[in-house]
Amino acid sequence: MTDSTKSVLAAGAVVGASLAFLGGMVVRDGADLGAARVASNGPAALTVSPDLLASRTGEVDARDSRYLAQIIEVLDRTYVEPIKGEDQLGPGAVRGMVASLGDLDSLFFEPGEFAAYQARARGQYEGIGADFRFVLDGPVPKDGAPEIQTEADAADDRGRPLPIPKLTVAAVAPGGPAAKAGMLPGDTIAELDGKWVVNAADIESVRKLQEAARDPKLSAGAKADAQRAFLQERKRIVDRMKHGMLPTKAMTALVTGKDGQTAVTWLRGAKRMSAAIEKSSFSLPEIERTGEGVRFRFVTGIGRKLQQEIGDLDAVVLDLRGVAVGDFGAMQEALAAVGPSGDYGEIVTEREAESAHRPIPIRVADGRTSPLRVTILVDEGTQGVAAIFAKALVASGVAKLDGTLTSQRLKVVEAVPLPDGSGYTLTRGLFQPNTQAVAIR
Amino acid sequence: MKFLLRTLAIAIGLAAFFALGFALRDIQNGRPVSRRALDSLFGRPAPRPTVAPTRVFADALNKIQADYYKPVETEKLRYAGVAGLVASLGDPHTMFMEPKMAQEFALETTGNFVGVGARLSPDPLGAKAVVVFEDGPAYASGLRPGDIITAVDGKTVVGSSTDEIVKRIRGEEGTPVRLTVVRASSAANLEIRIVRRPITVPSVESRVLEGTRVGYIAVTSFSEPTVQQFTAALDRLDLAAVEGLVIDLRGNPGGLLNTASDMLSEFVAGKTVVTMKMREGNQEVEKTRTGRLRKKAYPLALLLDESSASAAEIFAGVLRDYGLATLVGTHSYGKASVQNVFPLRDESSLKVTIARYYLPKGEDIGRKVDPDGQYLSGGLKPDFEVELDMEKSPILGDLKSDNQLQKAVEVVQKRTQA
Repeated sequence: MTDSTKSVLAAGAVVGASLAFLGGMVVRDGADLGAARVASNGPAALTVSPDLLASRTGEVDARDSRYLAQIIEVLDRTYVEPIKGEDQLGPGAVRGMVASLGDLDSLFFEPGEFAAYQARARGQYEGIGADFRFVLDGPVPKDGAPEIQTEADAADDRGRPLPIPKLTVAAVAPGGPAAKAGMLPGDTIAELDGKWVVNAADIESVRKLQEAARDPKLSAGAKADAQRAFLQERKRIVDRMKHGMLPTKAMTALVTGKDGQTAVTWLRGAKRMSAAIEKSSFSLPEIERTGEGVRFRFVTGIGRKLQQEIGDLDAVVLDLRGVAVGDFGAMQEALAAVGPSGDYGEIVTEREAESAHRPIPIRVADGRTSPLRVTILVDEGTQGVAAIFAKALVASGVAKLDGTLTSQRLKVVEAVPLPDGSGYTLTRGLFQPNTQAVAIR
Repeated sequence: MKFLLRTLAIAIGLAAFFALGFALRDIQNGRPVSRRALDSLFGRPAPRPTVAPTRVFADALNKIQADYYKPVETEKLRYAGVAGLVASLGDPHTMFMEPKMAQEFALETTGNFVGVGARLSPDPLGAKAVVVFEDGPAYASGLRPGDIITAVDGKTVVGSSTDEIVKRIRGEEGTPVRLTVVRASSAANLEIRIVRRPITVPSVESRVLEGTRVGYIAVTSFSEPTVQQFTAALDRLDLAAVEGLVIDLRGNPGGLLNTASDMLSEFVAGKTVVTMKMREGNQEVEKTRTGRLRKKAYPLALLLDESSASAAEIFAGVLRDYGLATLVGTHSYGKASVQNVFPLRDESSLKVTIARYYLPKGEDIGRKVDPDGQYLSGGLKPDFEVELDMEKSPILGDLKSDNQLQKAVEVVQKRTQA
């Protein structure tokens, strides 16, 4: 062998060994991060069609994963009990992140809750047969600020009155148990099975007093005063709290379960109402013709069914009363089935300064070609995609409204499933209708 | 043949390097190669075929960061995620502490920092000095309780948060800070120059209760310097010839096990404090030291409430189990677990429950709650159950208005006479 062949071989050996070494490390990374054998859980769109609102970026930051892997490793090694459900840890992290947004419509759902949420979008109800949302009194927070103050924000900004989200009936499924009991959209839940649905304002006042009493900067005298104020307020609340439950838990109890009775007390303004409501499971058809018009839900494939139902009529009444959840992609299908081609508005964010966050147009490319007079029946229960649909058609002059839309800010919300069956909703933007007429050209 | 051998050698060499790369993480950490990683390498199904938590975390972090409709602070989001992950274990004492929290926690347990030795509270003009430690440098330089700090090093602090003001006053040991101070009794502003020094936060307060021969020691936490402060308090009360002692642990959230153990060594020598049961049946027994027993024994009553937790409960439970103290007040919190703090990168840390502990008589005082988080059972049961009487607007530690303290004194005095 010549010297040059030898050095080529030696270099080859070094390169080969290095590559093998690096290969080993890469495979190990994959094994530890779970990326090697598990398919990506790309979000299957539920309320937003993927082509319309595809995620803006999708890179996984490996450093974050390693940071977390280190934490899991410490827990795995030292926690007093063997960690039972390691697959709970991921969703736990998501729960924390979603909660930190302080957004009324970005919510984490346990597996059973998420399934129930998805089913309701298809018209399949459980529990008392109603949709709920969290509603805030007071003004909409300024751009960029969270709707619900988190503890960290509250600490930065003492003295600002805290918004109080209330568990509110968004819509009542016609013919369901809640409807029979006389519940209406806009009612708020006060008690469930004798338990007080905890009011954020009260929790906050106790927490603040407790914090004040613990403040290490207080003198002994001031500390005693603060301690006393805290203890007094706490006693008052504790008596109520002993029979209290969190609003999120109350919501879960109301929308899940196929049988059994539940005692509900709800408020309509100052009026207080109670009923023992029998839970049941029932389905509403995706589309049906009633005496008042065509009632339909925003489920994938609804566009074609609407077209069939309307046929060559020249006038139609669409009944969207009580429709509060649905699929955003289906909403677009429905737009195309009813309205001519054109721009119906856009989805805007509060991140316009970032180049990736330009408004996304809501455009119908293959719309209706024959004229149609559309009337949309709405009520207080017309929310979410149904409200966006109605607003888009009315603002562009395609449809007339019968009833009043109560939603001020029309949020576009995406539902993201997680591998263990849980999931979360994330507010993607606000719908802004196009006020210029859209017509058949 | 020679070719075959050579190929074989190369293959083995490459495999060895691959194995080295694969196992590097374990070698660095000095443990055997992870079983899960090996299973994954050879295509064996992992024990639980699931998506790794890291993956779920990273996907959601990315998605929210990219798609949420309001500006997102990535740092805040990441910390919230880690906190949520740790919280999903369902143990309220296992928690993630982001850097600021981790720092405060460290300060609490060491009870030491460099500063001027004053406690501040918010004031419209800046910050009010509510407590000035008499052995601290601020006191020596003339700062008095009630003084309002309006400027630090000549820069106004009007409208700043107390946290910010504290941050500006603290600094390196030996460096000076100049405070501009408004005092009610003086028309002109005062300028006070203070040299920063290490400060020990008092966690023990003691005195002889007026009109009695009973000593009173309030212990507010179990930090590192508490042992020394506690021993000093006992010495002072011994000099005053007290005949009984009330130790007030109300509102004491606990602290270091070592501190509690050292303090107990004043009363019991070489006895079990707690038995700690770690995972997989490992046990560890913490014992008090010998040779530190106090010469004079007198009746002890301990005051507890629902905020007395952790080391405070150990301290009280051990004295009770050895028949040395009577417990007065309401049931304690019921924290029957031991935590360890693991520092992480970027100065955050992870507090993990590593063991459950059992008192000398084997009692498990672990708090039990119902699904709504309401207290069901747990904590130390007092020998004399006394609720604090709010009607009297009590000041804790004041014999006239504090009915729990009154009961404790009564218990001690009865024992003294017996």
